[in-house]
Amino acid sequence: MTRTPSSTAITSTATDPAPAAVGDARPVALRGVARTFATPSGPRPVLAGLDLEIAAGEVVAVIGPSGCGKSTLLRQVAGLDAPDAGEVLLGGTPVAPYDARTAVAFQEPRLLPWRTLAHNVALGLPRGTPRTQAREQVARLLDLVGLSGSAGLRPRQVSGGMAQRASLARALARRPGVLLLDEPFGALDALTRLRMQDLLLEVHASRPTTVLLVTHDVEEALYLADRVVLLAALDPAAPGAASVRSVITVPGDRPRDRADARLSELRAELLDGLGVPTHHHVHDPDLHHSI
Amino acid sequence: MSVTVTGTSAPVTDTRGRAVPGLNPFSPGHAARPGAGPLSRRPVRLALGLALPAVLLVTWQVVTSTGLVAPYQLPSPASVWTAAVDLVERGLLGQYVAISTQRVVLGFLIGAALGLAVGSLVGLSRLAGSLLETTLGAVRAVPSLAWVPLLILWMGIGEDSKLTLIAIGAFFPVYTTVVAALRHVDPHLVEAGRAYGLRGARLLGAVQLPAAVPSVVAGLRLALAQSWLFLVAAELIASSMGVGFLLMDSGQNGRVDRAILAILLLALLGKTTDALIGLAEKSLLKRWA
Ligand SMILES: Nc1ncnc2c1ncn2[C@@H]1O[C@H](COP(=O)(O)OP(=O)(O)O)[C@@H](O)[C@H]1O
Ligand SMILES: [Mg+2]
Repeated sequence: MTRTPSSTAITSTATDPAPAAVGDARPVALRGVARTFATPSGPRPVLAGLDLEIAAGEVVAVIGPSGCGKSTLLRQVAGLDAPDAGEVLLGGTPVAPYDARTAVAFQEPRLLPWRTLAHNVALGLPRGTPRTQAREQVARLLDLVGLSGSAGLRPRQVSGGMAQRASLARALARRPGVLLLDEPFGALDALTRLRMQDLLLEVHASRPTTVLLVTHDVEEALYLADRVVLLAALDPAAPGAASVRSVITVPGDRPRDRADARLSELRAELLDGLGVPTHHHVHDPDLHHSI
Repeated sequence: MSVTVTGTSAPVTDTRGRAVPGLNPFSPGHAARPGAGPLSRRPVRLALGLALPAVLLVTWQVVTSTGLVAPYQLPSPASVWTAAVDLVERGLLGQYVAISTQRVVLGFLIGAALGLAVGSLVGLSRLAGSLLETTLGAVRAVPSLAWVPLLILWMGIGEDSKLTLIAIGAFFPVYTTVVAALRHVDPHLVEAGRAYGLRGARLLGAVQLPAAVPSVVAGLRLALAQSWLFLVAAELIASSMGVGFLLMDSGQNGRVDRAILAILLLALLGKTTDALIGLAEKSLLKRWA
């Protein structure tokens, strides 16, 4: 790997251990976003008329049944894919292909198999990070996700959960304006998952970037997010095409009490929205507003 | 056999309370790991690999010494050895081996380097692919021997025409494997590389080439074997030295002993260079696969 020593201007902020300026976090706006894939069996509309505004530094969780278009939505924001209609703005400007203001932790870890975990995490560092600082930051990030002891291992030598944590560390290394997490804790065991959720909250508290988190875990969404977006097909005329069905604002400051009664209330509501009967009948309309 | 499992840390025991060795992975007397056995040991495999040549040698000795086969058809191992010693004493054998090896190595290096370069271009650039692929496919379809008269007309019977022929032979296995490997690099990894800011040469160096390494190495190995093939084609037809020349010359003079010697030399040289590239492959795969 070659590093240019000339770009110290960028790295002076990147190496600052203190919380970076909140200005780094970018607001995200999706307006009328539609995406249809061409498939052998004809066009397959996945997203249609999707509107969503996310404030800078906000944590928004997206939930929805599998295959409803959550990853597709995330890809629009990352500039990995472009909508057929509508626009995606980051900090007021259109998202660019492979937008450098974002960092994605993909649904699959997508680590380079021939690199050690440490070198994979280093890939996420902003270009031009000096060698010693790069080493320091990689070590710190690996420690953060509990992989210090596995820094020198290759991806195929570690478990799926460890690979996923390395992938998360790689995304964090970027210090992005918008952090995009696609089911980042899906492959983790229950205990590690709780620990990683708290880790994410710590990282966010020390450097409040905008986070768009895809999950299928309602509890996780309620524990982590300021707002939870339920993605589902709305329009009977375009079957299969998903849009924002409802947005729930989660009460309480983080870190939240996982046993909070208000959360279990919302949990029942979200599961209901996902079509899972919970046999829970209390309803508080204040916490819920449809779009 | 009925087996009781008593708790996670207790050993697996049979009905009489004795530990069942095969089911206790951490007990000292546990059953062999899958894939273990005598064949997993290197010396054993080496000995087995040499067994067939030894049998052939003995058979050769027996059929010649009993007169089962006439000496003008198949001379004895001893007379082939004598022919070798004779050529060594005249200083010819070393020279032939050296010049043939040199031709193969140089031709292979030229052809493989070109194959890597053109293959990368065609595999990565759709424009280069559309421009070059059809033509190169047609050139590849030409049987190797068809080039010989043309190359000799163009370049004479010196080293150039031979190196060119061998380079052609080495080029195509490398070219085709590089193109295929680069086109089949996991698109997820390429996308991740791009998402993390890699493009162009950096993306090639960090993601695409490393991902292609295993198949490229296999292509190089194939190219080396092909180089020996093309060497013999070149030396059989127009040369005054080399192992292929020895083969042709002995054929014309009825020297079966030398012809067999030449065949054995080709087998030995080909196997040696293949083993060397195999070692390189092993270390490369350790690093990249
Ligand atoms: N590149 C593509 N080509 C065709 N269909 C696609 C493509 N990407 C996604 N899809 C389809 O879009 C739908 C939504 O996919 P995805 O966004 O991955 O769902 P989720 O992440 O919610 O599980 C799926 O039915 C999937 O098959
Ligand atoms: Mg998905």
